[in-house]
Amino acid sequence: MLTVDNVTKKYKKFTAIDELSFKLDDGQTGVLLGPNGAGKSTIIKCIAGLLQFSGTIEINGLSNKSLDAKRQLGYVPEVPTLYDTLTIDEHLEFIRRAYKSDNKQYMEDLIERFELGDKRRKLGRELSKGMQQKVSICCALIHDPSVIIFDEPLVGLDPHAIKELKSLINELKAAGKTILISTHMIDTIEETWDVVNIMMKGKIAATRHNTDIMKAGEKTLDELFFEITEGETD
Amino acid sequence: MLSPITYKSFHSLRKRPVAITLGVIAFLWGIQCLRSMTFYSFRFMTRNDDLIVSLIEIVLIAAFDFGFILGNRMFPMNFSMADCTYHFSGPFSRFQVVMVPFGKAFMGMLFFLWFVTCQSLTLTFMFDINRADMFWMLGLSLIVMLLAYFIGVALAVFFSEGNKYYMTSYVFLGYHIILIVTLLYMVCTHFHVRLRDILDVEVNKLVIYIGHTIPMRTFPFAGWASYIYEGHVNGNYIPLVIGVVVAVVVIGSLIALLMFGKYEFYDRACSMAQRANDFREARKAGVDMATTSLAVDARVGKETIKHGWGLSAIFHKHIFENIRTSRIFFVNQAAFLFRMVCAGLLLLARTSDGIEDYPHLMATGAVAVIMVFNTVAFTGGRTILEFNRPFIYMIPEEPRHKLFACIAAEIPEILFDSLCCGGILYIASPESVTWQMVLAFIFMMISFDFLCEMLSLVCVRLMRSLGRYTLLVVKYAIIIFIVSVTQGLSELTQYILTKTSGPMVWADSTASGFIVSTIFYALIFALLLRFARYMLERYDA
Repeated sequence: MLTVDNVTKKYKKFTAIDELSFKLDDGQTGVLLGPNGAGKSTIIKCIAGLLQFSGTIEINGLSNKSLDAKRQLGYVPEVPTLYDTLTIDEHLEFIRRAYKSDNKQYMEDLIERFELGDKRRKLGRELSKGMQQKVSICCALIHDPSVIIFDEPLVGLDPHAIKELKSLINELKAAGKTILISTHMIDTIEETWDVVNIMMKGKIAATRHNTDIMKAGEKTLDELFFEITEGETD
Repeated sequence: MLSPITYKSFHSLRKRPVAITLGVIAFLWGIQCLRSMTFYSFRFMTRNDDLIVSLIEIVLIAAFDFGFILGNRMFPMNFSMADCTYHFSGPFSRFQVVMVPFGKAFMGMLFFLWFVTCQSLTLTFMFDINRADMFWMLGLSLIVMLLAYFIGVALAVFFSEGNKYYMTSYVFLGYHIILIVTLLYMVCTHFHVRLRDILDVEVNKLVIYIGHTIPMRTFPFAGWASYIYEGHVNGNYIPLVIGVVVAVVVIGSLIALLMFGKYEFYDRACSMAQRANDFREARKAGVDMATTSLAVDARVGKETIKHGWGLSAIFHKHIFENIRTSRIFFVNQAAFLFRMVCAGLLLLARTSDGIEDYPHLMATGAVAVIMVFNTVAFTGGRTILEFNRPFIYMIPEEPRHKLFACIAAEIPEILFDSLCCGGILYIASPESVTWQMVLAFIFMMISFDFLCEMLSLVCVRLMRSLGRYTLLVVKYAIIIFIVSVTQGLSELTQYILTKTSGPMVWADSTASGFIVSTIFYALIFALLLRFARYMLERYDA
């Protein structure tokens, strides 16, 4: 479960996030949609504990800054930043050890699933952006977290990896994990989302549940997004 | 094509008023140097045309090498990421793309000409060179540089793949080594001197002889161009006509070759632009280039991560990264390289005449050089790099424990480095340095290296928004301030000790200064450590 309550993040006089609140239950997949500069990555970084903020963020009822909360959190950053001198294998091994995860078989499964097997001895700096993104995703999942946040996870991935990631997200959802995805690409999340928050200027401009969209007469996600981002508010 | 480049250059330049001002000042200074030549042109010596021909030839060879390096080595580096994106994929022919970095190269050529112009007064005093000679020298240099640049570019684009690319550089370097060795041999045999006594030969005679040797006169373009000036001096303008024809034919052929030849250099240019971009990004975060290149030599061997659990995984990863880059867990590649340079410089300084009259000078110089190098090496170590990535913030351990794990991992390399520093101090001046002094110095360097590391971490975390240059300047200014304060405290201590215990010998006095510095650096380190712990918990990652 992920709870964001009244979170504000300011950079000097500029308010990047303005009293933002939302909640995701276990097994729910939430999506943050919004144009560039809406504050999606900022709130994701706040949840990951990388930024200071005012307000409360809880992961399974624990403050996101606590060590117990960090153990239950996986984070895929917008730009993968790998270690130049570690190979793919070594990245996963290091993260597995740092998080004290005994499940080495899961590491092998992830490598196989994202087709990293033939590149496992390549250094971080030798990988393409897409490959780095795959490693970054594997690093976020290797300790089997219960809450996973993805910041633009599909950027740079090949079609096979996109398919695998979508399928993985569905599996994680079925296993009761809480997932939060920030993206611009509405069509890529159509099959997975449960609740969508459309952000504008650091605030949530609209929230929709998948069940609402199914109802007759409701706007589609595309229509709703463009209506809000092109000037009209909900 | 020219219009967009002109537009881009103009708009880039107008946003750099400081660069424009410096350029104007440099230009005016160059004009002033040329003007002053007449004023100072006293006849200290009889004008010797042979000497001036040789001198111009040497300058032309330097111009050729400079132009060639600009064209061959620097050419792929002169494309920015934006150039790669917009020009390589845009509707431009390869020749048009080849011409994109010419503006930057031409600025380099102008710098060379300015540098030569600034030497005009020296040249007047030493060789009685006049303003007309200078104009000939500058004009011919520009033509030779342009020729060399386009030859370099042609070779760079036609041989841009891996080994072929490096082969061009090796051939160029090999030719120069052969040239230098041949000239040294010729000079030794001509003047009947041994190699180490060459500098005893009168400079003018040496220049005249070297300038008229066959290897110099046959040097491509630069050697031939001196015939033009020689013809001018003797009233024979046939070499000038031939020179103009050769220059036109060569430049025309190169342009035709670049316009109609088949070549591919985009890969190399893109990879160079990417690398330059990576360095820029790293430096934005306040990390020095010297230490961001730590990973360049990393090669995957048989080593694996097999130690560490939880917090200790961070410690072992740092050790592992050292093994990956230098093969030895306690060797920081960048620091070790600096150490080698430092030792080389000091050994070179020891051979200077008259240094034996100042026994303490070498030791003092060694301490200064070592500290300057360490400031660079240890203000961008692995801990700084680690805190520029998100993993360290995500790992579920206490921030202060993670910080300690990173610092602990640096202990082996700092210990080894400090021992090297002690050894270098001893080698620099064995006659004036005692073992107590070396030991005190080792302790001081341990303390200083930790201080640099921690200070850098605090600065990067606290002042990242200042931007790369300001952050670096602030960082180094703080270190200089701390070192200056420490120096004052050391001298105060030495004064008190002298007053209370009587006069001290230089070595003991210096050793006591090192001990005071060790304590002072350690205290500041401890304070910064406490502050860093606070910042890691309270500030944005």
